[in-house]
Order: sequence, then structure tokens, then C-alpha cells
Amino acid sequence: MNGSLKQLLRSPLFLVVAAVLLWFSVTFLIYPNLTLLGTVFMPEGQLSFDAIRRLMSSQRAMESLRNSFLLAVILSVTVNAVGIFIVLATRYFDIKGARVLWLGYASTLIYGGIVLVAGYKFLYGDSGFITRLLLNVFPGMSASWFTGMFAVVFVMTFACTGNHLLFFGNALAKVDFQTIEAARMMGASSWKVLRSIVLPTLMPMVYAITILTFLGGLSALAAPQVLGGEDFQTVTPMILTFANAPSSRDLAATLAMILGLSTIVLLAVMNRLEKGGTYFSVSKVPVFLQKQKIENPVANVVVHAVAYALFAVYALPPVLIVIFSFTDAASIQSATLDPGSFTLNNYLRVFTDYSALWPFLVSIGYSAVATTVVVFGLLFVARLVQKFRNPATAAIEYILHIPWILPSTMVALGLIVTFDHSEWLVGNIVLTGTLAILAIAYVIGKIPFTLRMLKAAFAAVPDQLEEAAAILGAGSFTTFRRILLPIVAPTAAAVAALNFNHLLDDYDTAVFLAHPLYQPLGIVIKNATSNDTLTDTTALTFVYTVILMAITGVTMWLVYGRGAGSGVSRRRRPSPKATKALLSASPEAAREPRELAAAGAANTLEK
Amino acid sequence: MITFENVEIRFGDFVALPDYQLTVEEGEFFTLLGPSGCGKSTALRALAGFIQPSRGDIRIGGKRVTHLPSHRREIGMVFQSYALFPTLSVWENIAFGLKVAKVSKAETMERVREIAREVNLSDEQLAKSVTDLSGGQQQRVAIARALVLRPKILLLDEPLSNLDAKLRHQLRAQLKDLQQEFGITTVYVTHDQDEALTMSDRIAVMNNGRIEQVGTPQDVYTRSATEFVCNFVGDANKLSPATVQVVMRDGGSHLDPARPAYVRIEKVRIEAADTAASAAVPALAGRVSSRHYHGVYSSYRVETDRGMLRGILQEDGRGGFQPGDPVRLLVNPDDVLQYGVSRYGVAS
Amino acid sequence: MIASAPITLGDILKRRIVLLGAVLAAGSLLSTACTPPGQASASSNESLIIYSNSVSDGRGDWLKKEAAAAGFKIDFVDLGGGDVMNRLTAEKNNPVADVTFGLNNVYFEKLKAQNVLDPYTPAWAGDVDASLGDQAGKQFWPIVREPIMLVFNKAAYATPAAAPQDWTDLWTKDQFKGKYEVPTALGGATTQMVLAGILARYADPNGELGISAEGWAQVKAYFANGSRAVTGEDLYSRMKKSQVDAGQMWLSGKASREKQYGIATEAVKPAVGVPFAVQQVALIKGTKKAETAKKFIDWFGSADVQAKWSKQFFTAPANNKAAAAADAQAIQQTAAFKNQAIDWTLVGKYIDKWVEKIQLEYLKG
Repeated sequence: MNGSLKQLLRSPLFLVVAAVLLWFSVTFLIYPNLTLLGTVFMPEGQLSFDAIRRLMSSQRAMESLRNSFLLAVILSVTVNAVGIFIVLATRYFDIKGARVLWLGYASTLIYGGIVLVAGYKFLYGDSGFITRLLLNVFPGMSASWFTGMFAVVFVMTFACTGNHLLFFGNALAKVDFQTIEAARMMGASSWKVLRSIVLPTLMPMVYAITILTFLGGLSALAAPQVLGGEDFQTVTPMILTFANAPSSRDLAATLAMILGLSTIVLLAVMNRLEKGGTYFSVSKVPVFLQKQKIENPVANVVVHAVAYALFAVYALPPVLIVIFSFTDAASIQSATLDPGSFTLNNYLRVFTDYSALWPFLVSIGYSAVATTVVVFGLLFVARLVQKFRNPATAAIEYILHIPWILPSTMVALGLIVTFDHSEWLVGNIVLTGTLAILAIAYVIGKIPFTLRMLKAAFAAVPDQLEEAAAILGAGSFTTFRRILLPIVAPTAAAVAALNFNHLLDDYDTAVFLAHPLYQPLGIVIKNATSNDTLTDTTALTFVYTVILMAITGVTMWLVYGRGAGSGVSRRRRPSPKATKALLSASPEAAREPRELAAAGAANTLEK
Repeated sequence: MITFENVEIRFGDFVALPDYQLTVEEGEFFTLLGPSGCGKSTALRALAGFIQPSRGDIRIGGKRVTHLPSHRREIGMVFQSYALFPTLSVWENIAFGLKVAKVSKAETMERVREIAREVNLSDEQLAKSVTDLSGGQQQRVAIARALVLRPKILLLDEPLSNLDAKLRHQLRAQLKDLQQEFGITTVYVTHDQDEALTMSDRIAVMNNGRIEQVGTPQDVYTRSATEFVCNFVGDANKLSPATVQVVMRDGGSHLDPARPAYVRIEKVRIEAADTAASAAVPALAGRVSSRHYHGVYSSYRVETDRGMLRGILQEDGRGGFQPGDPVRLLVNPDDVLQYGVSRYGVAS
Repeated sequence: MIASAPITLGDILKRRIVLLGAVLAAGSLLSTACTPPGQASASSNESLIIYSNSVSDGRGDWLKKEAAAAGFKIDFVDLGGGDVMNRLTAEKNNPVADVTFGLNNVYFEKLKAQNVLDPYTPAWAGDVDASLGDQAGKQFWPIVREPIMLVFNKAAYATPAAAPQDWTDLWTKDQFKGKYEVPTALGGATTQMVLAGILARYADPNGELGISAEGWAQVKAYFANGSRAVTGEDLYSRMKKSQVDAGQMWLSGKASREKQYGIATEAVKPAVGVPFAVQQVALIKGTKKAETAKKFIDWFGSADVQAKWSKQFFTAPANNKAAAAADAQAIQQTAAFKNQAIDWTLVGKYIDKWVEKIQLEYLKG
């Protein structure tokens, strides 16, 4: 039932949705960004590209750009290598303790951004465990060895494998096992089977994940900022800096536009891949994947060793964060454990001191409100654009993707410059300084991801269901509510959980828009980890991180937990846990799972 | 009961049904038969109200329904995929239409139970999730859901295509029985000529958006109106002009070797070469090139000097012929179907 | 519905989704049901909101307590200098803050230009040197004078003479190269004062952005030869580990950090003097609590409070009457620095452009 504009006009429900959508798009997506571009590039009503000249003459800016692209390219290789390996080790090969390994590898799904980087630094930094260990062996080496490109690539490689765990793992589970059996019967070795049968069928997924990884590298924020040192700084921190200085915002906007253009190009590539074919092999006779033994004993030992070494790399930072959250600041500073230094005071303080707990409440409140609004609203919108395909809805869809192209910093600035005075579009209310503006920014930031996931979910519902409902007398709203909503509900819940978790520790939107008395957690953590402060909040930061991980973990369990998978083979449903942003402070983090996730979501619909 | 009057349906520039005319009588089991893409589903969906004609009218019981929404046409439909609502139980699926129509709880209860009995669904099955049912059970739920609203017309869109062969054969009979029991006007869409022939009161054979022939199964099979129908329904030999000339030797003066001619394979008689010639029927000499055993009968390919012909022989336990055996073939001129050069040429 | 329906996969999923919905709903409620710390009491409408970059290191907590004793309920929003600026500017049509203090005169000039402040003459206006504040508009008033210094770790140099004697020594003398910290984020008030202190020496109306080529070469060398500040690590922590031996600091920060990190540092006293940051206080235009805010400003800038503040945080009050009761050391140490002659008009006009140029061209990494 491809709807025309005429049909749309006949449905009161969608008419209302269309009206609200139109208002929202114009008010919050188009107008603010145009205003921002105007103030930036036409400061006195005269078009000026001085920013480009200034950037071109800046060696530092050019190097940052180069580094960003370099990082993106390198990560495309390293993340794939590690990501594919950990998925194969836990889901394809018969490795002892695969379950425990998986839990370790999945730790990056529940924490990310600045706290993840801090965790790695805690281990490999100047006074970290590993560093001291290395110093014992190589006394001559520098204590600050963990810096520069190597450190950034190292941390981000492990931080960014979440997509592989979720989507590559899912795709692998869908490989028709009969093809593997057939190859085996013809005498192929396990290596040969993997290389010529399994991996080629998964290549579309690998391409798609590679693009995500590339974008993630391009927009890296926390890792280069903390670990990049003087030789390896990237663009996003620079955007943030320039955005903070009103007179340099044209530079921020220009750099953001360069990233945005790269994103558009990559999205175009992605769309081509999407059109190129299905990501998942469809087998009429599904035979569940059975784990493969590695026959070669040497290879077996090597793979086991690498798997456990990687496990250590993944698991140590979060484990240490948890342990050290129970110690005092001195222990944390020196990264030494002394039985006497264990204390529950940090936790007591967070849970008894209202002002220490407050940022949590604010973050949970904002995340919940924004998530609820964006998922609920877009359920209707996704349905609208999926059902009524015409130039108007296509245009709206493009507009709804704007937040993917602009870093959240720019979106926040756009909102500030547009709504720091009364605007009739929002009923002549000045939005800056209100609680609403941050929630609006959060909703905006989550639109593209939510829309794509939900649209894919609706698209996966066969048209015949709607026709069946129509013929039985159900109106479009009844059909929507009673038939379609229950079907897409699992996807909507998953999207909600991902959004919720991702917003919990947001920093770069909040820093511009948060109401001063309602500062969310990201700001508090960031302040605690930045210098120029005397009061020791390090221990508190660790506690915050642990609680964040706990909340994220619980949210994911609610949606993907084991009970939800019962009845179906566990192996067949590699429960996609949280898609915690790898670098949650990164403006592009929202881009992370995008179509892939949409594909994955459509996937979860199949029973 | 149902009429299509000069209905035209377009998808953009593509005209799916150029000028569709059709009448279905009350209580009839009417089948739209044709290859995929012939427009049969389009016609059905137009009747259901899912597609709007760009021209012409559709009437049900004399009433113009062309622009009436689906649920006001008093039709029930069973979809190819059954389109059961996966999040609802069997009971909720069947009761869905009643609930939407705000039928009272008690009546809903009664009507769902009644229809469930008709289609042989147990109470236990009613409580299940539809995803837990087998294909055959799902089909029964789909039928129950369509019939519980007591529609005047039942639309069936290839409802058997998802089932395995054995079940398909069983359900044909059940479906037909059910239809007769309810006496409901039924429009059935299929590409399977067996289904069409066994179940229908009348068949419309469609090709390229047009109706080639409307008639009873016998009409359509034995007096195929067009070359297309002849080829699509049943199995026929195309006769070479030389063969036609042989057949014409006896009483086939009405035949024209220049026009396409067909004979159904079961009308080709195969005899041992040494059998005394039947004077009445002109014969072709040939050798068996292959034989396929079907249990009840065997089918043969026979190479003659005027071309290859296929025929069948009842398996009577006497062994039949083997490849290489010399045989003679007999074709009654009255059994030859002949068409004009144009597709709309007259039948013999 | 049939009661005997077995529990299906869908049911479990449904339950989970309902639970998630409940969590989200509860979360949403939080934001309306809860009030921020300190805003809970009935008098919350008269609670003052103060934006400041000078309430870290325990200063905010102390002031809050003192203010409460004086009958003021206040809440601080603790932000960096640049952020206070940006926020006040962004919110100027719907201000959240009632009062702001702590930024130096350069920033306040900008705030004034952005029309963020309301003129108010505090009760103690006569006790301060008005020329330190807003000469023309009476929109902001000085509270604390603070030298922005170059400090070095005493342990790193055998004699005071071996230590750097001026900022310029850092990059012109080989023994200091690589051993002093340079900032990576240039948005902070202290950092911008340091840059102003260096650049203003090379003012040249014909130069780029009012600075001679020589001046730019100096700044370039300053950054090229310094050790980048490490995100998340204090200068004093790095000095303690001997990673660097010198860096920028403000007076009260020096005192508190010496105590915290247990190292002795000394401030360089260049012949040209050092830039003085004069912290100011002002009333925000559009505040709904103007009367209370004015009372607070009267109280905060009074000789009594400023003297206590001085004793607590080692500052030199701008209020002349406070001098007697203030921390003599702090006053003495402040007075020991020569006030560097800086063309503040030039700084105010160009500081943003300077920062941008440095970020683009001279900053490492």
C-alpha cells in the first residue's frame, strides 16, 4: 500500500504527525542551522570565506585533519582485525571459556568515551600498572611511553569493536551452516572454510562496519585529546575549542563541514552497499552454527593465547575501575593497592550526599525524557515516511538526517544563537536558560539513528498484515496501535535502551546547553578529570563510572537479557548488548550503529 | 454478484489491467488462473480495495464499491502468507475483526468458537501464539479470521502455495468443502492449473492483464479458446504442419496445416507397431525415445519422422514400451485444437 | 481471552519492554519531581544563582556557608572563565544567573559590550579604586587583585639566580627549554592573561593583530619550547614528578597547591612586572532577584567579607578598608609584584584573535 500524498491527507492521524513533523523540522533542524551558518559565514551580511584561508594557512589545522583521516584509515584495519578475531573466537571457533571471553570483550559496550580512555590511561599511563611492570623489565624506557598515535590507535581499536560484537556476530550466526558442512565434506580445512566460505558471505557486513569505524575514527574526541600528545591531535577536539570561542566559531563550523561532507560521501557509499544486496544470507532450512574445532594443535594454542591476551586487555581497565572505586584518592593517584585503603566511603558519599547524587538524577531524567520523546515521536514519523513515499516525505527524511552530518557541538550552537531571543516559531519563548533546550538537543541528536532503526523495523513488517487488518475493518490508527506497534516494540525498546545509555554521560551538548543547576553527569565527570582543580574527585569519578556501567548493563539486560532469548537457541541469538558509544563524548558517536543497527534491528524481528 | 466494468489499473506508466471485464456469479467458486505477472493478483487486490482503478467500476451485488474502503465491501480474504498478526494469539487473530467492529464479548466468544469448530481448530490451538502453529493450522486460522465476519465474498490469494505437496492436495478438497458449506462466493487466485481445474466452478485464464478465456474447467481444458490457454492449461503437443497433414488424411478436412495446431498428450494413442492398423485413424510411425514412470501411467516421448510427440499410457501391468521400441501414434482429427495465426484466431 | 495461555517468548519480551518503559517513565518523572540540591527550601525563589570561575578549591563552599550566616541563600555554577562568558552571553535574554564574579576586567569589558550587565553602584564603591573596574558605566566593580605569575619549583634550581627571571628566559635560554609547561587550552582566564602579558610587550599598530612580527616570533618560541600541559594533571603534580619545573599560576592557587602537593615554589618577578587580573563582581541584567542580588554584592564586596576571604584564600582585596584585616602576606606578596604596563584596550580588542592565531599556528599538537 504505497501511499500517495492524497492518501496522507485523508488520514487524520498522519496529518497531525505530518504537521508536528514539519514544525519540528523547520524550527529545530533547518532554521537554527541556517542561522548559525549565516552568523558564521555572513557576519556582516557579506559572504566571507576568511575561515578557509585561516585554516589553510594553519599547519596545525592541516595536521589535525590529516591525523583524523589517518586515524580513520588505520582503525579501519585494526578494528576489523581485532573485531573479527574476537567474534570468531567467541562464536565460531571452539575456544575454552568462550562465554567468559565474550563478557570481557563486551565490556566496551557498557562504558565508553572519556571514562574508557581514563581507564586505559590508568593502566598504561605514567604511573599505571603496566607501565611500572614494563619499567621493571626495561628500566631505561620512558614512563610516558603510552602517548601519541600508537596509544590512540591502541585504545580506540579496543573501544570500537562493539559493532563487530553486535552486528558481525549476528551475521555470523546467520551463516548457513550447511555450506560449512558441504565444504568440510569436500575436504576443506577449517582455515580454508573460514577464508573461502564464511568470511566472503560476511563481507557486506564487514564493509558496512568498516564505514562506521572510519567515521568513528574521523570524529574521535576523547582518545586523541587525552593520549594524543603533541604529535597526534585530531579535528574534533579542535572543533570543540573553536566552538567555545565566539569569534572563532566560523573555524569550528568550517571544520565541522569538512567532517560533514566526508560523512555524506561515506553515507552515499553505505547506501550503495545497502542497495547492493542483503546483509544476511537467507536459508530456507536454517541449521544452527556449530563451533569449529581448530585441528592444527599449534594454531589452536596460538588462537587460545591471543584470545586470552585480548581478554586481559579488554577486561583489565573496567575491572580495575571497579576495584579502585573502593579505594581512596591516594591509592588511585599512585595506582597501588593496599588492603588498608579499601573503603566504602566513595559509594556512601554518592548515595547519601544529595549533591553528589544529583548529576545522576539529572542525567537519568534527561536521558529518559529525550529517549521517550524521540522514540515515541519517531514511531509515528518512521511509519509516515515508510508508508507514504513521495517527494515531500523523502525531503523530510533527508532533513531528519541533518544531525548526522553536523557534530552535536554545532547543533547546540545553532540552538543557542537561534533561541537566545524570543522566536515566534516556539511561541516567543526564550529557550536558552531553560531546562527544555538540552532535552531538545538530545532529541535532535537521536533522530537519525532512531528513525533509521524504526523505519527498518516497519519496513520488515509485511504489507499483507496491514491489508488483512484493513479488510477486517481496522482503521489506520487501530492497525498502527494493535498490529504494527506490538511488532516493532522490541526494536523500539532496543533503540530506546541504546539511546538512553548513550545520553547518560553526554558531555559536548550539555556543556553548551545544560541548565546551570541541572548539570548532567558528563559535565561533572569532565570537570573532575580536567586539571586546575584541587578538590579530589578522582575517586568520585570512578564511582560514577561504575554506576554508569551498572545502569547501562541493566538497561541492556532488560532488552536483550537471557530470558528474552530462551526458547530460541542461545547461540542463534547473540544477544546484542548495549551499543555504548565508543567515544560517547564524541559528537559523531550518535552515528555509530546507524544502518547496520537498522539491519540488525530488522533482524531481531525474525523469530 | 461481482462485476468488473472496463476497469483499468495503472502503476505509474505501467498498465497492469488495460480494460478488465469480468462477472462472477453468486455462490460461485471462481478462479483467476495465470502465470505470475499476468495481473490476477492485481485484479483480486482491486476487488479487495487495496488498489484504486484509474478507470471503470467494480460492483459487488450491484452496488458500486470502486471507491469504498476494504472493510465496507463485506469481503474476507486469505493471504498468500496468511498475514496472521504475529503478536496476537490465535484467538485474538480470529476475534480481531469482531473487536474492531465492537461486537459484544459474549457474541465474539460464540462466533469465534463456532468458526473454530468449522475449520477444526481446538481450544488448545486457540490459546497458542500463531507462530507456534504449523502451516496447515495457520491457514485454517487465516480462513477462520476471514469468515468470522460473515463476509459475502471470500478472496483467496494463492493460499496453498506455502504448503508442502501432500498437504496442498488434502486442503484443496477441504477448502472446496468449506466453500460449499458456507455457500460463499469465492474468488481464488492461483498459477496452479491443477488447483484451478479441481476446485473451480468457473475459471478465468489471464495473460498480460487480459482475460483469455472464461469457462468451466472442462471448457477451458477441452475447448481452450486461445493458443495461450491451450499451452498454459494441461499439457499439449504442438503439431508440425507435416503431422497435421497426416492427421487430415481421415476426416480432418476442417484442419489447416498452415495454422498452429495442438493435441493434448492424453489424446495421442500409442500402439505397438505390429498392431493391426485402425483404418479410421491415420497413423504416424516412430520409436520411443524415453519413458517416465508415474505410477498410474507412464509418459512417453516418441520420435517420428514428422517430429517429436508425447503421449501417455495407463499402466496396466503389461509393461508398456521401452525406449527403442517401434510404435505407431494415432491422433483423432476431432481432438486437434487449431488457432489462427493471431492469438485471437478462432478455435477449431 | 483465554486464561490458560502458556508463557511465550513474546510474553517475556513484553514484560521486559514494559519494565523498560517503567524505568524510562520513572526517569522522566525524576526531572520534574526532584529539585536541585540547595533549591529545595521554600525560600528557593530568593536563592541567588551565581556564575563564577573562582569558586573551585573550596572557595565556593566557604562562601556559601558565610553567605548563609549572613542570610543569603546562594548556589554556584562553577565554570571555566570562557564558559562563564559564553553562558552569560547565550542567556542574556533569559538570564539564569543573578550575579557573577571572578572573571577579570578583560572579560567584563566583553560582557558589558554584549549588554549582559546592569549598572549598580555597591555600598562599598567608595572604598575601591574605581579605575580598576568599569570606568565609564559603573557596571562592574573590582574585588580582588591577583598577579598572574610564572612559578617554578624551588628544588629544580640550585640558586634563585639559576631560575628563570622572566617569561622570555624560558624560550631564549637553553637550560629552560622543554622544562616549562605551556597550556593546551587557551580559553582560561589565567592563560589569556599570560598571553596578554607576553604579547602586549610587542604592541605595534602596524603589526598583525596589533603585534609586531617580533612579538609573534616570541609567542611561537614560547609554545615551541614548552612542555604541553597534560589533560587531567595539575602543573604542581607534574612539577613534583620533575616532568616540568615551571609554569603559570595565580597567587591564591600557588598557596593552596603548595600545601596540597607538598612542594615549594617561587614566583618569578620580571622587571617589566606581571599582568594583574582584577576580579570583578557585577549584577546580571534581567535578574528577577535584583534586590537580593544587590544586597549580596554589597555584602560580598564589603571590607569584612573581603578580609575573611583574603585570610582564607590568600588574596589581596581591592577594597582598601579590607586591607588592614586581610591576610598581610597575601597583600604583601601581591604588592611585591610590579604591575605590568599593559594596553588593556588593545588586549580587549584583540585577545580572541590572538588566541585563535596561536591555536592555529603556534600550539603544538
